[in-house]
Amino acid sequence: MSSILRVEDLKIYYKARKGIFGSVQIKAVDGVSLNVGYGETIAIVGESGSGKTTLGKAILKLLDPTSGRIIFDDQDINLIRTSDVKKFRLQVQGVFQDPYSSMNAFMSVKQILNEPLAIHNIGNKQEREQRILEALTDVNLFPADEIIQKYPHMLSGGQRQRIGLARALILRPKLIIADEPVSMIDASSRAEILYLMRELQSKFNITFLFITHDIATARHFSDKIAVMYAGNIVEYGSPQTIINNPLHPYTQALIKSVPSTNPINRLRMREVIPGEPPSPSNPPTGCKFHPRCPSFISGTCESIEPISVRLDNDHQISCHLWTD
Amino acid sequence: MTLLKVQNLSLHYTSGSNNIRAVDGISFNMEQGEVLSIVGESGCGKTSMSLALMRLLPRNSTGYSGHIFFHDEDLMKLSDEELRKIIRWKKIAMVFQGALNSLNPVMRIEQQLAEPLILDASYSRDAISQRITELIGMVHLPNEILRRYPHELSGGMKQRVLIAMSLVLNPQLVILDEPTSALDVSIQAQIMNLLKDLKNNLGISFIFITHDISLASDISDRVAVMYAGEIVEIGSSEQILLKPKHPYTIKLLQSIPTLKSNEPPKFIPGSPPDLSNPPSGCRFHPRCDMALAICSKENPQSFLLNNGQRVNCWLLKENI
Repeated sequence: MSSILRVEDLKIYYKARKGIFGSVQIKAVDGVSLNVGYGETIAIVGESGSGKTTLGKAILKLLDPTSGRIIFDDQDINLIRTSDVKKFRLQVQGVFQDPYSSMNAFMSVKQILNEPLAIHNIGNKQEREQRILEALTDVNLFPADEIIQKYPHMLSGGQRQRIGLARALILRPKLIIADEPVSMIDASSRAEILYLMRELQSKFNITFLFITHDIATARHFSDKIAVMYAGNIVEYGSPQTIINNPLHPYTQALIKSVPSTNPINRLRMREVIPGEPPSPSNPPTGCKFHPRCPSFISGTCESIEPISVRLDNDHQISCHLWTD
Repeated sequence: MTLLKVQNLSLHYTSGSNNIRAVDGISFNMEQGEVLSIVGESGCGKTSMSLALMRLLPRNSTGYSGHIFFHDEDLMKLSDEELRKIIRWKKIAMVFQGALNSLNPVMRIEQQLAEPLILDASYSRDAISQRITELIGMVHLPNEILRRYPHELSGGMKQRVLIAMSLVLNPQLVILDEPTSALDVSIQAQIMNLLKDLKNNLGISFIFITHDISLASDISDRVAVMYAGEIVEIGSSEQILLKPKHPYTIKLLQSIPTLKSNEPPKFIPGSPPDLSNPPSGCRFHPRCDMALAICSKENPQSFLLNNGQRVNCWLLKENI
């Protein structure tokens, strides 16, 4: 399968102020490589501070990488000339976590959806209105001619997130970066948005990069899962492989931390990963997971950074337990 | 022993010209040492119910009625001043939703923990310092945390501090409103273990409010399912999680993505109703795919099953 997106050894470091004069380097993404095929959904799973959002922003060309390359449709996106950036944005769009703050409260649904069309000079007034109505129908918001006049505060969280999806979709992009699209939505309506994304994917042949902290959702709604920890992808594979045969101790712990609905849970303690994710300004040496790892190999894990190895066709891991 | 008996509790607000029936006649009992979870989607009145229990009423509240028996004493009969002096924080405490950022940024943790004890003039300096050291140990934080400021703590640590703050005056009942929803999954599991610890070691009763029914399974002895201001089903964890009877409970359970089965999660179409104008009859009927003709006309009776599970649904009429 040819790839639509290739990320090669991407590093994104920030400078953060510390004290009055000092500054400290934050390694948000620290050597990520990724290959995404046409029409695939790849889930980036990680906790806060894992660098998953930074990775998404870099692919949206909202951030400049420190080093490494992002190749979209055979073109390095960081070499795109300023005059061509608009063309790039026509093809790559984002859906964001918070449908309450990612929309202008003073704009009606019609204005929100009209804006991308106006910016990219698409169609005349009638054509645009037609396209807005179509986009609303595509995301199952009925009746479209009523919804179009509403303001964000008049809509529920789920409806708002569908407007967010329609806004991304209206330009018919090839790739959509969806950053925690359902985490602010009630558990009872999350699946609705995700089924909708899947339906739109097959209808318009869109590739999705689905950023989430919830590995259980990723299992049901993605073709590949990449697990990130402290700026690195620690394990990558198909959902079947990652869920049924997780090899990285962090992936194993993440899977154990998903609650089931068994009432017996209350009678036993949950297995937890001790400690908290490391500070990106001062990450541990060697494998960044080693201070929390139950299978820590003394002498190796704290000194040598593990490299990513391919175990079989769709399973990659960076862990000393599997490289040596 | 019955700790809390709530009867026909209602809390209504005005918003513009609308009367919002956020909590509309709910009743339940709670035993001492028990954890009761309140689950339901956002906008079902879970938070309003806990504010009603604490009598922390918003300014626009219009109707506040019913009975709250705490150890057989009806809290509704107490004046605001009496309730503040005897009950709130001393007997019933609360950890608010999204409170991680409500810690005072310019006060050290120890000052914030000590504040209620300083206000209560009966504590000596030594007693205060002993109590906060004890509290910080109870939530498994190192002592050095006391000298720090909130910005120096991670989200998980702040949540532990907030839990410690609710315990300062030794309450018998603590209401936890979505205490883990802002935390990462691995930290969430740690906090759940902490709550289990507190329950087992101190015998504190909790009301645990969450929209995630799978999280409720992790701690609750009993579960109450709330929809549109009413409790539609209540029973033991086993009853609600394994043998749910109300279509809403069944659908909530089906919406949880599971790792073990290949069964993809389902969803509940639509959203909870506008509480200023709830649907006639059963409030869930417009979203229910098992609705009968009677459901849109008459409010469902409350059916008490032999095992103690209580369900407000017309589907149970023949089966009972």
